Amino acid sequence: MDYVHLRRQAASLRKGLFDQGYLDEQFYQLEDLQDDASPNFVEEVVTLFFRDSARLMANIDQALDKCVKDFNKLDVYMQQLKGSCTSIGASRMKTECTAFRECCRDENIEGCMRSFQKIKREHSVLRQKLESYFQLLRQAGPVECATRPNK
Amino acid sequence: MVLIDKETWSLEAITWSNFASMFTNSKIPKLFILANPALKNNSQFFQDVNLNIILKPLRASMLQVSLQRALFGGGDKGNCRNGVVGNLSLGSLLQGKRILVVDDNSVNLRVAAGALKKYGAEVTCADSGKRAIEFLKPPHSFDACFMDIQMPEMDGFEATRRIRGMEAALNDRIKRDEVCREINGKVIQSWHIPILAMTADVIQATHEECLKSGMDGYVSKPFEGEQLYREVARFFKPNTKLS
Repeated sequence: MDYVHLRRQAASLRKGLFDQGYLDEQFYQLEDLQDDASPNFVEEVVTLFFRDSARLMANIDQALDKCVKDFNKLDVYMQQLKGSCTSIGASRMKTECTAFRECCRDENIEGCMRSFQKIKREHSVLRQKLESYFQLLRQAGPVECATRPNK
Repeated sequence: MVLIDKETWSLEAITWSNFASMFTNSKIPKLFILANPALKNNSQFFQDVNLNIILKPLRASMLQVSLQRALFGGGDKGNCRNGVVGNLSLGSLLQGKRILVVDDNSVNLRVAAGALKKYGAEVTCADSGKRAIEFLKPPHSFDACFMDIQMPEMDGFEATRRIRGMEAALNDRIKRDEVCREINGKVIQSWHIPILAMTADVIQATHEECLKSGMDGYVSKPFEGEQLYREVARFFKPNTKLS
């Protein structure tokens, strides 16, 4: 197995996530927290994030479906989601969450729905990219971690 | 003091490490290197203990802390790294401390706990104000609490008010000599656990409400290195035995 190639692919994927704004500096903080005592910290937190965010998004979906538009409730859910996004550095999602909350403040239901579609798309893309990334890391072996310089 | 932006000055003849070591032997001037956080990929540079690194953008608070530490020492020789202020500093404050972290959001909880554990704290997690109150009913052995303020069933303010209420009741009894002051070999004249609010939106009203409800301060979430250090340093003295 060509571990060097896999590692390079993983590093490239990771760099792309930052360059394209999917992830921000907070993700570095997560990587900093990974060590011998918590060797899979980043993947664990990311997995937790996707599970938690899927649940919140299902709640939001339900709330948007109902005829009575409860903007307060929507805002509370979105605040939670935004908080999670901030914690892992999911930058694009975070930006869209802010936009959604503004629509709530304006009681603009169409705006909320459009914004939510964007959030779902960003969520899906981020999930797919991070899953690929962690899979590559696993295949590449435990020796190197993502912060190794790619000289 | 000399501040150099890493990106604007490329050293070809010698490495940054060798350049910086020219400064370490003399007390002045102190060299600080301003670096782009996106370059954290180059971990070798960032882990070099000879370098005092400050991440850009340069913020007044970070500059103050870095200068203070570099110019007046502080016992540890760890490099100044933005967001961490030298692992050793927060480590010397938090090592062995029992901390309760309260947040109903499991992702936030995990990240906050992870950050505190990294500095050597023994972290317990609680996912509600109610649980926090159970943990912090005196007597207990926690040294500090980080409390999310926006929680659905019972927010951080209410939980803190109740905790202060329990402490006040016990302190009354201590004053009247109705209970023993000694807990786990420590003599406690008066119970007051430091409670720091964790908040995503830091606004003035929040600050006032924090203090009104009996909290001791607040930090943003996710944690920000030098702010965390500043707040924690108000309650914990550095453990100078740690080198």
